[in-house]
Amino acid sequence: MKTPPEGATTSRRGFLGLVGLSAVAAASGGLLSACSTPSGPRPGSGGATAAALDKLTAQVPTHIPYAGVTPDIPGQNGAPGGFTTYPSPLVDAITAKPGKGGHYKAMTPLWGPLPPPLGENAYFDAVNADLGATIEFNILDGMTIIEKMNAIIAGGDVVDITMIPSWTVNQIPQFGEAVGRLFEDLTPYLQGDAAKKYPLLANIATDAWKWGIFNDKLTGIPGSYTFPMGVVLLYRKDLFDENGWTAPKSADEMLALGKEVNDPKKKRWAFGDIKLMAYQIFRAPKEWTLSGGKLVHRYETPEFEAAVEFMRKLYEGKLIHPDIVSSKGANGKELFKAGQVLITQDGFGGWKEMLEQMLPTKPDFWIEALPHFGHDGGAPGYHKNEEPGQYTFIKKGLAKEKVEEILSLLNHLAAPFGTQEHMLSVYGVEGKHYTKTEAGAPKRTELGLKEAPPTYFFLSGRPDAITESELPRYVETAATWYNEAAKHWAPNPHEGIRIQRPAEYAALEQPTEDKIQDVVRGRRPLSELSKVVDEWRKDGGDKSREFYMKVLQDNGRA
Amino acid sequence: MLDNAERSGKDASTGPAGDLTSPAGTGAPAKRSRTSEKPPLGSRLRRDWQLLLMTVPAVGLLAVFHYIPTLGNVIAFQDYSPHVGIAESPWIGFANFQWLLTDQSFWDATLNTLTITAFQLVFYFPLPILLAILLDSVMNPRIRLFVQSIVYMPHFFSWVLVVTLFQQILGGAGLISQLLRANGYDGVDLMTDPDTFLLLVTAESVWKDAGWGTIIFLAALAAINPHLYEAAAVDGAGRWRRIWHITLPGLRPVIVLLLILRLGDALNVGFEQFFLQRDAVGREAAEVLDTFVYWRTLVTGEWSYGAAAGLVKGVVGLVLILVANKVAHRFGEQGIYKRS
Repeated sequence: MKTPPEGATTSRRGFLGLVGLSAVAAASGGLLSACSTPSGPRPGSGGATAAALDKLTAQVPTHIPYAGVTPDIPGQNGAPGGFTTYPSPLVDAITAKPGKGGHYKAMTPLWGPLPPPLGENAYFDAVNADLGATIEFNILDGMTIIEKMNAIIAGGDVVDITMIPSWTVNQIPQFGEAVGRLFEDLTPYLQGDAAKKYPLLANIATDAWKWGIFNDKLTGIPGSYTFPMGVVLLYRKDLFDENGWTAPKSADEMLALGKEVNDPKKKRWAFGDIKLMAYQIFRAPKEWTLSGGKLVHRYETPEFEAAVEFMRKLYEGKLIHPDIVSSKGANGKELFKAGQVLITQDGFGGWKEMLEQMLPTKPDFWIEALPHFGHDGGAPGYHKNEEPGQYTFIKKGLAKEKVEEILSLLNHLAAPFGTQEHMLSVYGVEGKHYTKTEAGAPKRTELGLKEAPPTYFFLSGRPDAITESELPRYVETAATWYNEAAKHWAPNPHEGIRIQRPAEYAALEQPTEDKIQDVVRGRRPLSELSKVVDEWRKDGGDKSREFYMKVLQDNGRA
Repeated sequence: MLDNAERSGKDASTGPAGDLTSPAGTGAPAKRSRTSEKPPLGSRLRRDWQLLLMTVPAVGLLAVFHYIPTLGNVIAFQDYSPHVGIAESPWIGFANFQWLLTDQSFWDATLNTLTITAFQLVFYFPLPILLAILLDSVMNPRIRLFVQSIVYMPHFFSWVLVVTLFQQILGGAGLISQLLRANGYDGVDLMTDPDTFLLLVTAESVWKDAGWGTIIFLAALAAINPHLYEAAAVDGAGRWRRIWHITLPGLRPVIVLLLILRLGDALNVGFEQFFLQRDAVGREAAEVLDTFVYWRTLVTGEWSYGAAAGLVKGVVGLVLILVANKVAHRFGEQGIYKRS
């Protein structure tokens, strides 16, 4: 897989000459990148593979549908359904204890404050007792998960059970090489009918399982795949209603609205960082688009440039909260909840999370996702996450019995909504971590909010839905909103192909985004965007294009 | 990586004392060099084995935490993949350096680092000296202790806290801005302005560490013979004359020593402070070599490339130290080391 890049070696004399040249060029005003680019590809390439999902049938478990509960608002076009009433009574999906008393360490990310550790946490104790085994969590800060994971993967220092979000997997260069070295091949345990031992894992959709195949081996257990929207635009509906503002229907309206509602004197700013959503409002492609038989990257499209220009206007107009502009760890959620920001971008899960956190103390608090709109008043082009949101991996080299025990535990945690297992592992103990409303829905207590953030929930996947029936108004709005959103996916020429990204392509993303950020924030003129894109092409973009084009050709799509 | 700032702080405070004593010390090396003929190795071992034994723990620590990891730098000459290891990764000579030296963002980071170093050398380095002289002249021990405690304290705050504090005061939604807005003016945002970033980071550094930096100078001041001051006063020297002719010459060896160490650290301006504020003012203003290496290794997984950048930084730092030391010798100072 790895070949030494051609032309990579240089004579010492050539090198010294280059040093001299560089020094001169640096002194004469940074003409460097233009005049002395090394020939040949940049080191650190390779490792890319692609496989069409429809061909990956041998390794996945035979699907065993679990007859669960049906949502009150059915999901359409692949959107999740919604429960406005809570199923009752809860089903006891698994009667036998899955664990055999083992002690396993698990690593999951978390976007929020850390819960008290094992030993001081009644929620962990309760779920572990139910599992019949101990899972000890090592929780990573979700904000810096790429750095942490890169170091952990390169160091090979993984714990027994590791959950990695799929977007993180995609940004770890050479993950394809790492996966076989670090994580157990689960094909023999789960392939075909072998999965019958783990019926709830076999309940996970076959397409989701196919994404868990790395280098022809089933390695990752797919997590949540029910919510294909990466981020959504949330707004303070309560404050909008109170002040008589109306939700925007185009980019121009959004800008005008922003200027109207922005009032720093009252500590109120129109927006948080909404860059990712701006791309989708302007219908820039998620990654590539096929135009006239040629692959064009999103950076190269006029739609992308228009979105950057739009974001730039928001920054120029000082419509974005200064703390978000200035601080790396600024907590956008807190500012939004406090009403200092009126429109923000967050994961879909953030919507209900913030409602859950705020409603107990502030019953008037209400947020919703903005109604769908494109920049010109037309439809948006949402970036569909085909891939499951995360994968769970098991450490390579564990004894067979241990792998089987872990799979039983993950099977248990894969129990879907409407089961006792799901209730316990998500909400904790009744009367302690949650109380039941009159409608029979759980409502987290203060202890529950503190001790029971998503931990066990992240270890496994399950068919999911919008299940917060304690907030029927939320479920109704959110499910309707999602059904509509699912009509507006941006076209993706590589849909249905599992691609492990070329290393140089993965490595390019962050530096390029940094440079784009400079343009967005007005630190570089808009005209330099083309220069940034040129650098991206030179540093590996063009080479990646060849790879992505070949993938299309191999699959008869171009 | 995260405790870079602390490490350089430690270098500055413990390094000189250790290094100072060794060349001037009365140990074997100095004596030996004076004798024209060295005794054979065997007899030297027999004579010094206890001394050598005593160095073993320190050498062991250095080996484990310094020298062996340093060998890892060879990946700068490889197309290294952690998944196949150093032994299997292909050797590619200077290709990484070739790419590095034509990488505009590397030069941006170098330029930023050098600018910050130069600026702080002028506007930060002298402050602890002034502060120390000032503190030394406070006669009331209680007031002195009180002031000392206050100026030392910020050193123990983490950078996250320092940046947040500045943010809450100087930021766009901070104290000053809101006060201005309440009185009908526009708010100012000093935290996101790339043009004044240099002033901002220097202000932060001064606030955090200027007090701590006085410790060494205070010690040096205490070592100056008080009789000199008395004699000068008797001869009619005023306050400024005494500072100029007694205090500053007394501090000179320490100042030169710290200056050399600082120059060797020229490409090391700290990591956290810039990491935390990089997004606020952008890569072009806040990317320094340390953050460059971080982004290019941990974030993007280009281990070889990052190692190459780190190696270049190390080599330049070494050259600077050697040059500065030489210059110090020219001026008749001890420097950090001297070949006997």
